[in-house]
Amino acid sequence: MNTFKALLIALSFYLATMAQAADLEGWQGKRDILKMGLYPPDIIMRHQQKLGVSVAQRKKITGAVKAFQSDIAELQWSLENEQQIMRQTLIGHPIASGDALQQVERVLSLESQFKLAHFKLLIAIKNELSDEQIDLLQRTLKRRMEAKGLSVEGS
Amino acid sequence: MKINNDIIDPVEKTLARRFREQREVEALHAPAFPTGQELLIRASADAAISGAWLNAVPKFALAASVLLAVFLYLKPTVSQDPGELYADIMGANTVATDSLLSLSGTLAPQSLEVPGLFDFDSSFDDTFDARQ
Repeated sequence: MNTFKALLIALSFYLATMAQAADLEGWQGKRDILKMGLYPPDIIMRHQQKLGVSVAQRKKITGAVKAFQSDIAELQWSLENEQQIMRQTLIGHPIASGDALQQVERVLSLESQFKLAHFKLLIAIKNELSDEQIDLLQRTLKRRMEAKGLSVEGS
Repeated sequence: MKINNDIIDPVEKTLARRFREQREVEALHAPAFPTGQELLIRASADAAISGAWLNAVPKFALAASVLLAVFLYLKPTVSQDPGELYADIMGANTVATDSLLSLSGTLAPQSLEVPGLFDFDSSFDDTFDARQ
């Protein structure tokens, strides 16, 4: 029973660590987005009360996210498939560079389409916010980053 | 039924006699075995009943399917939080080439993450209210 409990505790720690690692990985992307002066919808929605997001704004943001979802719906399947092929191509040795680079180009093209759709979403969301809301977001972010001793760029 | 006279034990003899008497009493009260004619009538009645039920099962199934389809179609859809929807979409997609080309923490320490950086808390500047 003691062995079982110890294993259970170890498993819990492991799962918690993995979850935190995955979460930290997501924050890298968010920081880059925020430094560019764009605001992901999950951050806006999480603090919609403080920002005073109206019902109309929420509706428009929801519509923008759904439009993004439909833009990339078909792209997701192709992207995952092509990424998998690219990984398999690059794992081998020696690599046939002509074929590999063609595959990389296919993946880059699909990823570019994905990023373009993502930018379209973030721009649409920012355009829905008022100047006061953006100012509040920027000032708060700047304060937080200065508190952490990080450089403030593009905010 | 006769008592088996080979049973020597008097207790067993007594028990055997009692069981015999009990069977005779029960036989008097038991219903008569049905005749062949009665069995035929009963079987045809059961067939008629089961046939009717069997014919009705597909109709019930069809009706249940139609009701379920109507219910699912007319069910009011709960609008998903756009933040959660966005998180689901981004969580399901990875840009493989970005991760391939990213620098490791040893080469670029400033790229290391700061947990909780984007958690807005009550340390807002309360002198400003975006809702004004």
